[in-house]
Amino acid sequence: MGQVKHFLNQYQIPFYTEHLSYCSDIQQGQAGYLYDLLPIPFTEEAVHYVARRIKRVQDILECRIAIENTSYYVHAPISEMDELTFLSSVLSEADCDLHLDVNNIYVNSVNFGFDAHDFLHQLPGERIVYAHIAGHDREAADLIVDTHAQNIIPEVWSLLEQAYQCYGVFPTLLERDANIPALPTLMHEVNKIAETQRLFEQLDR
Amino acid sequence: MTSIHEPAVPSFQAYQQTFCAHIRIPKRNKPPNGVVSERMAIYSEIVFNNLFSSVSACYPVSQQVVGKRLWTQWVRGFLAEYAATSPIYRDIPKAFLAYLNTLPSLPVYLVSLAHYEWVELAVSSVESTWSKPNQTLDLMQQTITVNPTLALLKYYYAVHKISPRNKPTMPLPEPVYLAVYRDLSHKIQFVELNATTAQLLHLLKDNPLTGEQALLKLAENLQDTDPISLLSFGAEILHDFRLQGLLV
Repeated sequence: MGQVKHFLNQYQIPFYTEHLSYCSDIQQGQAGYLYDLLPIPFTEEAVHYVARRIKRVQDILECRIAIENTSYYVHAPISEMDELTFLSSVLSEADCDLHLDVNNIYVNSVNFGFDAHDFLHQLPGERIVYAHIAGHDREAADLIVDTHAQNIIPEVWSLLEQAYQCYGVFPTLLERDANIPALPTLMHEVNKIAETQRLFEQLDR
Repeated sequence: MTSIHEPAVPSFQAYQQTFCAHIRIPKRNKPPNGVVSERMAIYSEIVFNNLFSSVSACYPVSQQVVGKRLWTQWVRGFLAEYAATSPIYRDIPKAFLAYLNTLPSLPVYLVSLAHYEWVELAVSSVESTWSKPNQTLDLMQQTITVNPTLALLKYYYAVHKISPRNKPTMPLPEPVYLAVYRDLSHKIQFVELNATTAQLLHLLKDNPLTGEQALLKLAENLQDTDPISLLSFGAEILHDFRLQGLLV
């Protein structure tokens, strides 16, 4: 965390955000990293545990951080609440900001059969400071893998518009990790984000 | 009344532990009770693929030399057995190198080759900046600074010449000396040295010396009876080193 703090100071970075997920286990008595985003079961204990750790990070960094809603594929049978309740509880208990990923809402809505727009509308919108948008790979009718390797689909664009409409405009990053097209093609999506932001900024006034 | 038999690990963490154990060794460890196994397979796959590409990107030659089947088996073993303790992505290849060194069946030359490949990554990410050296300063009278990213290597295999068609069968009679460093345009450079030039660079790296001091020290180490010719020969070598970016 010391290194992160130094990095944030060195480059005057205003936001630090992290996924609501875990990435290590106990291997031979010590933490072993798996370097991926693994799904935390939605339990009361997990809410308290994660919130405590977020607070600790905020104390060390001496600033608020934001937590990103994560895509996932496996429902934990031990979960005691749904994703929305888990996310909202962590945010309020830790008193931190929300890094909204509109693609992840869509991915999870397909993978677990809920309404993405309902989910969006019930979020604690006043906490949103930053957003991600991306494409994904549709593997089956009820399964999307969050690869960031395709163009953004219309349903996800519509979620971004809805988010701006409900909660105002916030900085938004296009994520593209693989199958990357030529820059001018990629810029169509970047420009579309900017146009959408302008549109909703005007509507705001 | 609260129970005094509270579990040591919260249940969500016990679940996570089982979840990860399955990802590490899907064939041996069952996933947590009640999860959908097809969905669970996605995690086993993405974690392995992610690790495989991070590791393989650093070791292109080792991977080729070993062959895909054995290489895949090693990465599987790494995932299954190794506790990677650094949260930093860039440190994955170093952890893999440590894991390779624990394998009893590893061909000996591969330890050297993998180390050599890892050094390239290590040198590329050393945090250091410097400016273009003044090519006119007299290296013989000037305290010399070596390139801060310089790694001086010594192997008993010609690691820089190994390929699938050129696998060493026995160690070299004399070691090979290599310098690996980053230049000002962030390119990684490789220079083959000999025992003497390697020793000269070691002297300069470890001590603040002028060219003349370093060469006299070298003559002493080599028990050279003709230090004058070593000085003139050495001056040229230092000049070349500076042109190559080994000195800054």
